[in-house]
Amino acid sequence: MSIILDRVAFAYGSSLVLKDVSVDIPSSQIWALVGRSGVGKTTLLQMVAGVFAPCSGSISVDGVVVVRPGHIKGVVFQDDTLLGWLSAEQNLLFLNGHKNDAAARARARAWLTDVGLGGRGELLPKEMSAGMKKRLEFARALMNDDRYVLADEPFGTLDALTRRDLWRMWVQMRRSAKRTGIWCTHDPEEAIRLCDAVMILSSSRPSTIIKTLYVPESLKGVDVTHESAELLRVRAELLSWLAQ
Amino acid sequence: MRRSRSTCVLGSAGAAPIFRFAGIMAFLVTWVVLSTSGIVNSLLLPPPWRVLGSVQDIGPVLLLHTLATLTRVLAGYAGGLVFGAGIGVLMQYNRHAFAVLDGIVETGRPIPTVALIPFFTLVFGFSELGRFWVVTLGTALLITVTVVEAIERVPTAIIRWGLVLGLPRTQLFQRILLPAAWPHMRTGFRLALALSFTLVIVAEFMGATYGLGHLISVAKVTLTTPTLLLCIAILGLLGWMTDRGLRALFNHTARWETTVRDTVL
Repeated sequence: MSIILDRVAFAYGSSLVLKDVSVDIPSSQIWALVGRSGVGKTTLLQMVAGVFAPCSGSISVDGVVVVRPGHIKGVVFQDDTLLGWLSAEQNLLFLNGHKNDAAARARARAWLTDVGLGGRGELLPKEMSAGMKKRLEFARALMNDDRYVLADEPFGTLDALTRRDLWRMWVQMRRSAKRTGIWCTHDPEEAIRLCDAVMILSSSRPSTIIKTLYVPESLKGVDVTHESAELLRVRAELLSWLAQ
Repeated sequence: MRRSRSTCVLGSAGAAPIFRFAGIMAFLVTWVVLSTSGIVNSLLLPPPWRVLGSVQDIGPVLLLHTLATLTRVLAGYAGGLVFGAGIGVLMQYNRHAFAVLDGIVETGRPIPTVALIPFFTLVFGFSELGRFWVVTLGTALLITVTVVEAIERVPTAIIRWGLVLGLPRTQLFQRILLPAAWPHMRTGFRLALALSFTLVIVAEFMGATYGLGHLISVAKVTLTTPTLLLCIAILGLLGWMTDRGLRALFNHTARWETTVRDTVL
């Protein structure tokens, strides 16, 4: 259940964006990917999802080389990808197609409750706030895939308090189900609080991973409002690497 | 309960019902004044009651004429929808199909379909089939462009999400692209409906034995302006009713889309 990138490079036309990216994310760990805007975080994530193919190197998920999309279905993008014509519950059941029996619907309702949308299954996306939509997108990603998750700045557009609520939701959910994945963010605090390690992309072009910081055990599983000297220290270290 | 007041930006946000009738009343009053005061020759512009009275002059056969026209409009429009939507979806589904068809559609579109009517008359004679194809062809081109553009308007993020799930192309179209594009088809579908009225009437001018267009061309020769104006009024009414139906269909099926009315009204 690991995600392995081996000397991956990517170019848009003739301009090289990423080169020599090698990562080995162990099973049941979620690693953050941080870097300035535009260095290629999203591109890297799309390659792991199989939407883009690397121009050299290889990506393998669970020991199988990625050549097309479809192997990781648990994705949350920065942009809204809910299907507007379907209700919250129907959005969760989309992947099931026509096999939506009572058991599947019960599962969808359980997910809705888990993300704090219990009893709101009939709402259309346009009737939901930005925070509710993100909750629903997470429920959908987790329901679609019980092994992997890829998140691309999922909370980028939310206010600080809503973001904190969703961090708490995510920390709680991770306790119940272990998943392997990558979490792109430009918020150092989010990376430290939610992930097992933080990969830092350089600001140079082409970009590559210059450092992987492992989050100390003492910071894992604590409440998202908890402040500590350790947290500040890791955050300062992360920022100094980012500034390079 | 009264709706709470908020800033209205768009005209379509709605106003008091009395305004709905104000326009039509002003029109009728102007008509009455012009036709009865002698400003305009009443032979050319008879007053509204003379126009209504001509319903009796024509008799029940008027219903037959109206139904003939309406049937032609709806049949031709349906044909246009089937062919237009089919070609439009095919063009977006397959890049080779797009390359081949785009040239044909874009060369055909500037040609007024009305100009083809004499040719169709030569090929099909004065049969219904010729009129059907005129309307179908004319509307199909408009609908093709509408469908092609509507599919292009679908947000990339949603398409990419569908790709990530590993959906095959057919499912991507059926379950994501077409439902997402549907609200964007509204304008083109409404314009095509109006166009099908135009085409049916012109087609009826040339050798139909039934239909409002035929009635109009006869009334012109016999200088029966009340009948002529009555046919025009019926056409307006039919157009209004069918458009209302189409708008209701879109309002119902595309109400999931966030419109300006949801956010600003």
